[in-house]
Amino acid sequence: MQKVNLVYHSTIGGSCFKIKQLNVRLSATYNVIVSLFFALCLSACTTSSHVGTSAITATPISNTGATAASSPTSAQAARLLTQATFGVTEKDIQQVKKLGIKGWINDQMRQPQLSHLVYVSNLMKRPGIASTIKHSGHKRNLRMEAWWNISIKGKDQLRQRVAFALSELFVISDKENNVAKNAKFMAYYYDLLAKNAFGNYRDLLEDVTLSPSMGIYLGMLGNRKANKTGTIRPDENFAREVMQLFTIGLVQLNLNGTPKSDKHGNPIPTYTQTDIENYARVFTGWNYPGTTKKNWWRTSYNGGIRARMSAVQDFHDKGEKHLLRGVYVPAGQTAQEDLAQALDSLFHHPNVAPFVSKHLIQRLVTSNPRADYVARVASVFNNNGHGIRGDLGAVIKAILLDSEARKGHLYRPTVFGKLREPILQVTHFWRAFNVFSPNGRIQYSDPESPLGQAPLSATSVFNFFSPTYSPNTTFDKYKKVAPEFEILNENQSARLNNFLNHWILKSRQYSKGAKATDNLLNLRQEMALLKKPEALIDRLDLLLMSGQMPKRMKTILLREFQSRRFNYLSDFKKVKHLIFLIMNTPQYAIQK
Amino acid sequence: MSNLLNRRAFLTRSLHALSGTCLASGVGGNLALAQATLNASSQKFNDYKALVCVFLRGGNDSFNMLVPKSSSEYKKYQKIRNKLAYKRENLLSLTGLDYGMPNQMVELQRLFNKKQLAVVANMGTLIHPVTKNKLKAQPKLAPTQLFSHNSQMAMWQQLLPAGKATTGWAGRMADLLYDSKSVLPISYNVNQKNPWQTGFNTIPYSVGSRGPTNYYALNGDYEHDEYRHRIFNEMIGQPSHMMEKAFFDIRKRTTKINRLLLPAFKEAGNTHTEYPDNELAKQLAVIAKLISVQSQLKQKRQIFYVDLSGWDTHDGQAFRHPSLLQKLSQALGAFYENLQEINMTDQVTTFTLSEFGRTLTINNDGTDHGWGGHQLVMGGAVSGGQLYGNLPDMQLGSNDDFGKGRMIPSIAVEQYAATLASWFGLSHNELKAVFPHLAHFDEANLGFMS
Repeated sequence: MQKVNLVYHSTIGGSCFKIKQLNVRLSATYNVIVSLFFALCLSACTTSSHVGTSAITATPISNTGATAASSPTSAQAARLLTQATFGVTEKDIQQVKKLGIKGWINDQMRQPQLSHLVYVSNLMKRPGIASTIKHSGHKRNLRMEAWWNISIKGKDQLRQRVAFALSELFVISDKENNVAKNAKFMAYYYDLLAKNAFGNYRDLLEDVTLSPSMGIYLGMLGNRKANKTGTIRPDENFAREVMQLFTIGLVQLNLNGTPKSDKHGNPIPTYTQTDIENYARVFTGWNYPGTTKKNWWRTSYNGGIRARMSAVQDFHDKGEKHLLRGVYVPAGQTAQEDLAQALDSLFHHPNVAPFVSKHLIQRLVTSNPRADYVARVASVFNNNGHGIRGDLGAVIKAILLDSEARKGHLYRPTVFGKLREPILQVTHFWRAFNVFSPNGRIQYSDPESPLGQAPLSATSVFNFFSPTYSPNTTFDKYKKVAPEFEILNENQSARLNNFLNHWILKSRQYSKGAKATDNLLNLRQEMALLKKPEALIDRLDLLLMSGQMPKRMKTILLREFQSRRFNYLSDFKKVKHLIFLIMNTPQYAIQK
Repeated sequence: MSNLLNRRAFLTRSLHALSGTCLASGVGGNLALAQATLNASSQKFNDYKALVCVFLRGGNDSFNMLVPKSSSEYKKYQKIRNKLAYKRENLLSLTGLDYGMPNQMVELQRLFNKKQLAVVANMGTLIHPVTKNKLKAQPKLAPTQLFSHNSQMAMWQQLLPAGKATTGWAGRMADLLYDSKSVLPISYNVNQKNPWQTGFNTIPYSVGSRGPTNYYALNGDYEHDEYRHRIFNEMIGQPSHMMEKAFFDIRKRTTKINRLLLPAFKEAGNTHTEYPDNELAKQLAVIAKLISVQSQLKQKRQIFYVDLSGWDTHDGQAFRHPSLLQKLSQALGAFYENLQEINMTDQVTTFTLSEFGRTLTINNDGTDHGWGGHQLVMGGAVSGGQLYGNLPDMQLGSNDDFGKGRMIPSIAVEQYAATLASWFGLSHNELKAVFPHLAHFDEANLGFMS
């Protein structure tokens, strides 16, 4: 593996060629697929029509026994889906059992990509909606709606789930800055992340770097060379954060993600302030798509949404630059040539593999991966087996197929796993119990106040939580982290409980009498199992806890069926009562 | 008193273990020991005092918050700040000072001139006192990861190198001061966890933007919910996974604290103060309400944290920064008025922190991460109307310039913090236990607290 790496560093041209080929394939697919989505979510997805048909039969899902030697059990399938989707559904469990874990991942990677931008644009065209959104500022509610509908109903679950994880790495946010709040630009940025979810990291890095949304967010858009007196000089924001947060991090890492140390035992910084200033000079001369020397100073943009930033050579610093790891940028190059060299210099840094791999492992699987797990995934990042570096599809497979991902809960029962992000608890709940609404659209415009997070809406480029956050002294003592706990303070703990109270206990099941925008539940499969309490609890265990519900919880829930209070409730309320109890437990909250 | 000594000794040991300057004595082991010997130490105070930290997230360009007015100094300022220089004629005057504030800061100007606000100049993260020459000779004297947001944010709040610390200086103060007989936390914030308030034995409590948030369902205190709550707890039992435990601990602790806090909070009267509609003001309004019921809570010391984001003005600084200063000024002005209304101005000291100042040179429409910067202290106990410390030489390449107009701090955060802590009631030895590098600096007290 090492050898291949070395070859890589010395033959940048060769690797670029391979990457370019990959790029062409991806864009071709992309053009075909982006427009497919509208039908799924907006047209007659009147899920309410399901209710009232008698076709639904109660089928308890077997919790044990694989159907074939290679076929996973339902519980194993559910565990995979918890890591790789926005939440377990019965249908997906069957699909994983049918295709096997590898087969399901491959199948997911072939699913056409759903576009958030197309969803938002189509919504804006609707006469009834167009009039209601005219004055709603940046139309953020439409972007949120696209996210809920695609995350909950979309078939490209793995791609969208990885896009969400990437949105917590390549952070842009509508918490600041005017233009970036525009729903279409934000939606397209998310599409870029999803497009590259199984593509090459180098392409992703370039797409993000040249996206006007990122350009605005971290100031590369409009960044210009220094003036002669030196009182005006390039903006360092993007240069700093692309290194600290998107590629290599603050300190040098081993392949397994642990920091390297110098002879005094101190961590070794990856770059200096001078490095940042040099990269800042590289990232000069870029502006809104279509910008020329003449209109460089314009302050607004009404052009296309999918275009990249344009380079204007007069505003680019053409001097020579020394970049990291000895990369030399000669004087006189174009902004594009400089940029390619700079992104290559970061892409080929040995930190990228462990840095990115660990981020994705933490977002999908576990907060505290063992070092060897990180090393295995990082090796795949460095070389996918065919000499390609940065193949994210291969990285995602390596993450999900790794023995730690598949069996970590058995080996490390008190450590393995992560706190489910609050917003993913909600998608999980709505997916598992077939959320639908009279108007066919899943709407929830302001997730951050009850949940402490909303897609592309972190307080800063540092995301909602830090990858090294430790919630208490026990974690400090054992050198463990639990990043998601950073947004679970006392207030948010109560808010989450109250949110679940509202959307579980107070939800309805019939369109009749509900508001057009209400999110309703279809619990008919569960209600049909009320006469078989054990089967019902097993089903809830599988859908919500991947079959990991402790025996004690099961016993107590089963005891409920004997209680007078419970039997006094309607069937719908009985099931909701059980779901509510389960979803508030710490055992549910921690994905294992 | 002996228990205080124990707490202090424990803190000192723990800190030294972390900064690697002393025999490493496992923090976990000492924790139990220290806890066992603790008593109600904040009972040693007869008076009430509160500290309110206002963290300006992103790095405030404070060299545009206090602007020179004398023609020679203004010229230097104008030259280096270029397009981002404030017009001299628009500055608000500060009595007795050759410096002014931007005209968005009406409330803070008034407080300064009434001697209820002080400015502490050119402060930053420092382990040792430094000069430009010293830094040239010994680059290692500079703290690590200067100019990185999260590292410096942690450094200001923890005063230990990034990555090594698990506690903040308010948390360590709280460790010395908290009332171990009370369930109530000494530290509060408004929905924003932060490293500053975390101690070895104390953690902050987060209220919502309208006050403490209760569990509306699965709450054993409600009669109608009592049954469900009971089964719920039975179901949970004793979780064995460390994260399940942590999750459950938050819930249990919140429930316990709410039981005391919510009834008191409900008794809080309505204020006549009109707060402006901004994020910081909303937080301060809740804090004022909490302070107003402290006599019911019977807490002698309270530590509050609020913050305002958006100060990372790499772009659009010409319109973003003035608007932030206005938010800050209006919010602090309203908070002070509210404190006057409840007669608490002398007991409550409010101060700012921000992870760094910014470059004096500009990047066209904004500024980048710097080092030193000014901070504000507000309150009846503040010797206000004065500037503490020295303004740096604002010329490119001057003896104070670390490069591109990053000002080398002349005051350490620890000196500033220790001055506040000393007013809060910490003894000399306790200061040493909380602030690991304080001894490196000549002055442990900057004199801005009366």
